[in-house]
Amino acid sequence: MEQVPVSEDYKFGFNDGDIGILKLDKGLNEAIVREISRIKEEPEWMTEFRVKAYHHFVNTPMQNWGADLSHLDFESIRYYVKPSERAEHSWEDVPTEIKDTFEKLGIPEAEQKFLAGVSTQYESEVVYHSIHKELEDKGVIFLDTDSALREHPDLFKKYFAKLIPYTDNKFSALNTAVWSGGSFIYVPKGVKLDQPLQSYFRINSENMGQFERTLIIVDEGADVHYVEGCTAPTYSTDSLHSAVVEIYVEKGGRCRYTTIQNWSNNVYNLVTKRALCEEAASMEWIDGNIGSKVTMKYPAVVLKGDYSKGTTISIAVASAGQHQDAGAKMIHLGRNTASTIISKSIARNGGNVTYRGLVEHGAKAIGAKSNIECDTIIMDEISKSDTIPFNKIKNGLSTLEHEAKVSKVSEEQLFYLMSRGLSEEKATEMIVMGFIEPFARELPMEYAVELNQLMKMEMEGSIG
Amino acid sequence: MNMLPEQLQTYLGPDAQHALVIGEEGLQFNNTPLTVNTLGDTTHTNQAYFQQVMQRTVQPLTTYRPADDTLVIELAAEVVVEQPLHVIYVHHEAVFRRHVLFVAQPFSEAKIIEHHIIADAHQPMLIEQTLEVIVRDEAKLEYASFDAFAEMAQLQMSRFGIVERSATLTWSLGSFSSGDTQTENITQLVGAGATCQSTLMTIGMGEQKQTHLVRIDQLAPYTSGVITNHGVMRERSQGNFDGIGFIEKGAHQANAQQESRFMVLDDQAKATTNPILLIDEYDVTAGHAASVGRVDEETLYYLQSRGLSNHEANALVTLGFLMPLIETVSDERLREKLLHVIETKVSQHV
Repeated sequence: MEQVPVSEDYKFGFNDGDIGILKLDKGLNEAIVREISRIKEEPEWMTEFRVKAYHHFVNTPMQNWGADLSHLDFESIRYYVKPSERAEHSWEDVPTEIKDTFEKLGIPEAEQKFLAGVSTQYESEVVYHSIHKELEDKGVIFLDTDSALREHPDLFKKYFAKLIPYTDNKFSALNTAVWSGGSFIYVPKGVKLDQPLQSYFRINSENMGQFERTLIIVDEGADVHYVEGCTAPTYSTDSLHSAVVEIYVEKGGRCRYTTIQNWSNNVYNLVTKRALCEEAASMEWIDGNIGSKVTMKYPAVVLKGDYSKGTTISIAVASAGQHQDAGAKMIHLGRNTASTIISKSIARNGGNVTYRGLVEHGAKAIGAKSNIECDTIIMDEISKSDTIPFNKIKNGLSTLEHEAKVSKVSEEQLFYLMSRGLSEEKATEMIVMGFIEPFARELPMEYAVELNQLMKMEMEGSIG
Repeated sequence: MNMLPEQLQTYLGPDAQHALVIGEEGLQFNNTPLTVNTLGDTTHTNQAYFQQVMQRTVQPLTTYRPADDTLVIELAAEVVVEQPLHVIYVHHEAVFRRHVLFVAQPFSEAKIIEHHIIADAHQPMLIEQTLEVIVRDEAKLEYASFDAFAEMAQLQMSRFGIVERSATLTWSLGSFSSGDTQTENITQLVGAGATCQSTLMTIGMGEQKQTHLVRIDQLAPYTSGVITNHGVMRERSQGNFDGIGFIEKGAHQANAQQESRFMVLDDQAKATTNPILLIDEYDVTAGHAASVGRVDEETLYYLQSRGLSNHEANALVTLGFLMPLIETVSDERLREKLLHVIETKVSQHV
């Protein structure tokens, strides 16, 4: 009944050839880790830190829960590629080939003027980086993480790997050993940014892992919205994306982190994301997982300060051959902390989607409140879905509400829409778009439009 | 037909018509349509069911150890019993493992009420009981079991069910003992149109740990599995509900619903609820709701403004929280008894 829709090819069907200038051999050993650090001219402590993390990675067994990672071959991955000698600062200097790809991705040059700052990651290194003057005047630091290590060593060392140590899990160890690129943001006290900061990440070389490291520090009373968008061209062999994102939100600060992840269907997307909220701080993860072969991603918020607030709004769409194992974690430590999780999952064309989450109210998190809502639509008979939430309450004065639904596209709704003259395909699309609306409305306008296009392409061919 | 000892007669009340007592003195029957055999003496069909669910279940919570005693209790085909059937276990030994296979043959209907009586309440005890209930085609079985032991007794109850075509199995379980309690209740709906409804209520007190796992596997189309767990945690007790609803591929038009709720009355009490849905089929409806919360301050304030003490108000709210589950018990006498047990439990101070 199902045929591979034409759109599956079209979606990522461009490939700019290989433009990387410097490449290391495939596979990983201590020498390669040291070589990466040497090429980047890093300080001694970072080199040693990478090596320590590498040894921890080697000695940590693969986890036996969640998605199937048995086909992941660490030896066939190239851990570092440098596309050009230095990070470009003006648009004119950016190679035409890279510009072409952006063109296909739909980022017009004119968008610069609209965006507050663009740090575009193309292959492991940042090649284009522009900061609006206004940002610089406000004292906001928005750099790629490598430059931040060079230019702000003290600030960097104070926060780096403190929230997610390399001992956290196997993939945080791997990332710490071979990290390259990513964004570094520091928003000073009381600075509120109206425009979101954006960055495009791309994997373009075959078998090239991308291990970006993002560090965001939102100082007291500051406010920032960071947007990370990922797209990748189709390749036939397995590729690995293993990022680490650490966010510190100081007293009264607010951070929103928006991701639309759309890796091609051969990418293992294994990401560790964690934020720490001080008193009355607020952290919001807006997380969309559409592409990739396997996703394991559970954005976490540690609500340390009293009256702090954590929110995760996510969607996951799993199609043929995909396993989206995503969810959220909320760790309440402070009093009167609040968290909300809204998760919408869609499984179609034989996809497998899992919601896996943890909400924990510590013994001192008196008056904590949590609301969890996870809904799933299974679109056809070959797809499946699991919902695995853990809710732990360690004090008697907090409240938790959890609700979940799993269903197919409602036949009554379909019937109604079709009775009003819509085709089955159009009606299904409308129902699905309505289903993910709580996520879509949180996105900046241009991303919402992009998501709409993506979802429409995803849904094409889903009616037999 | 043996007569029941006077003590048990009083325990069950004058209305009790059918009873089966399993104790040290062997079996005592009182006008019961049940037949009891050892495993070796029962029919081959019944023997084939022995340990069937347990072996198919992926991860039993407790490792199965050979029982000291294995019994096969059978309700014959097409026998319909209106009045509740009391099955009474009298425990004498300090450590006892029993395995019971209960078979409700096709088209039979009955309400079973399971009782556990401890001969000497002052002696430490470990009771491990494994129960397998087979509900065959078109049969209807209600299985109620409530325990309220003193602190000395440790309980490990494993209950398994197989429900065949168009048959119904209703579990009404209550865990009101004062010692640490661990139970698992795993039911497989193997025939089309099979239904299982499982309700479990518990009150945790003192330093007690309560762990309950309820799982319904839906392996056939048109099946319905409904899990309802309500727990009240007092003082420094810890409660844990694991609810799992699994729908296998091909079990179309299946319905899996789950509700796991904890009410926490004291600051030090802890509660964990893990409502898990594993869905491999698309033409289904499934949902779960879970909550952990304390008593609504406004409700407490209102009740106290009407003259109730804080303690009485808490007790009343607890009762209200468990009431929807108590109401699912069809036998009126058992409902009254349950209310009494819960009232005693909530008015206790430790």
